[in-house]
Amino acid sequence: MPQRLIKIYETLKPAMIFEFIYRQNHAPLVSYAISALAICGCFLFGQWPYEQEALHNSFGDRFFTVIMVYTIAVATVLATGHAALSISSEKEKKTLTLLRMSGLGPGEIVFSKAAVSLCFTVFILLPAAPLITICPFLGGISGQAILKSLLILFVSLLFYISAGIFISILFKKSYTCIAFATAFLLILHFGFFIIDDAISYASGASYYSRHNYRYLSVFSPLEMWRSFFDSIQAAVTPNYKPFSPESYFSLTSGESAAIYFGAAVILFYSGVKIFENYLKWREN
Amino acid sequence: MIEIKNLYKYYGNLMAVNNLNLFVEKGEIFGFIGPNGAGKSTTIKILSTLLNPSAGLCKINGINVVDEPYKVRRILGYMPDLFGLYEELKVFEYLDFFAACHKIPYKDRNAIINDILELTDLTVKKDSPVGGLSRGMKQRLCLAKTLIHDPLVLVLDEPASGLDPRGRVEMRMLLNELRKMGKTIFVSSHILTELADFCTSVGIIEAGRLVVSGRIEDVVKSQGVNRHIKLKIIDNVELCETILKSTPEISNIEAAVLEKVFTFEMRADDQALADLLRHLIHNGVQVVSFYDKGGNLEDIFMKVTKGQVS
Repeated sequence: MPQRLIKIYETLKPAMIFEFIYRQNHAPLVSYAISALAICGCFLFGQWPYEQEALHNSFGDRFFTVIMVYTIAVATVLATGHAALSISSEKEKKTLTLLRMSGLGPGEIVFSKAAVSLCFTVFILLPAAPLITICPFLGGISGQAILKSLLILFVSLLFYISAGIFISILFKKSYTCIAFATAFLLILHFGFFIIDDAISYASGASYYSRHNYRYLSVFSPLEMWRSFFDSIQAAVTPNYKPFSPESYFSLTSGESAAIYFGAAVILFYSGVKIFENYLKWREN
Repeated sequence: MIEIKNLYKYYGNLMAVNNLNLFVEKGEIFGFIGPNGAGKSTTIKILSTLLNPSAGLCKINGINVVDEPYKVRRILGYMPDLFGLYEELKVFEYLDFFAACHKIPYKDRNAIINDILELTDLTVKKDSPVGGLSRGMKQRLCLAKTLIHDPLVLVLDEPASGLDPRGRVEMRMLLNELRKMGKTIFVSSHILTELADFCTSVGIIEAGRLVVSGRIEDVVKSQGVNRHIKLKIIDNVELCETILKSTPEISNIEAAVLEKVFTFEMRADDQALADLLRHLIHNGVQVVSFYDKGGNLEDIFMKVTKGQVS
């Protein structure tokens, strides 16, 4: 029994370190790290394009893929995390009341916070820009494809920031917002795959198969990026046969981006609409 | 200027404000008095458009706070009891930020901020970080922020709480300055001596219900509470004592013979006090000071409240 207790204690020790870091007001850092690891885990899990031979055509597209994977992972976590903290931190510091009384409307407050999160994320990602821009010179990818990827990334950022801001309006404490933002990212990225796999398993498929029928996972951002990277490979690889599991319908990366843009607008609009009334309701 | 009619506020089953009716005229300083948990902050939050009432009407300068909150916010300056500041900013930057929020043109901001810093006596701290200010200075900075858009009405929730005696005196002087500028001030406090000196009218709330309100003199009169007077003279102590003792409205006379100071209670209006002072001087008592201590607000409070909370 004592051995067992020691083992539990040893297991919990890292959590105590995290607790300490939280107390030092570095909660976002921990959450970012965990979220980034989780997203990297997703890519490793196997949802990434698996036609490895296609990736060996040239250096540029492989280099671009590596940089973009990193950029997407960092952008996803940073944008959502920063936005999720934006309004909740004002609540915690008791400055939101002053802001609300400062003559700013809810739209202005929400938009300003979203703009700050967008600037912050873009600023953090800037070092990746020169690396991405040299890729066309290394061959295997066109400048047009790079511009398309950046546009999709920008639209994704708008979606993540809108979601983060929405979460930030709903909850009072920063750590609650970060927990919900992390859960949101995990569910958005992996949840649909798990649901699809569960449905397939219930329908008699093996527990996990990449060729299981797709229902909801076409809406996952991972699928959007898979579709985008497939299109890059298809452009540079003769006779390229992309991975295409069975599904009711499939979306191109552009269509997925349009859906995310629509979702971002709805989330943003809802956030602005509920802002005042929700805060008054919370006061009750 | 401020009109509250049949105001109710429930938090679940708890009635925080119970049929509150108030009217504050333009240019008045209205002291909103009540023990902790009486419903002061709830009323103030409703007035400041931060909370919706369960029932009733609340208007500021004729504008309904529920229907047009953003219009109200443009003419209202609200200072909460607990507030946060952007501690990493400098005092000027902080005020400049809120001036920008209020859409004050860039070219006008510098002059407005300098004026407000002077009014709140923070000019010397203009370039100091907000985080390094003392509690009293932070209170004054928050008040400066509240004044930045030149509001018609100021709603101040416990503006002097947590301040040392000097800070309280400074806050009181500042509020008097604002009163001279014609602002209508709605100020809540549970420190009665704080309010007695500068409020023109008061309202006492207990368990969400307004138990008494009106101009201080009227309230004193209506409640039949004695006024506390402090009198300092140069000579004729015996004569003075005789006059005081012979006045039927005067009671509880305490004399500090060596200091030549009398304190007494008197059930009287302003005219009767003036008559007494004239009578003393006419009889050869050399008066140095004749001061109404205002402690009567405390007496009224104790008389009308029963120590209940919502």
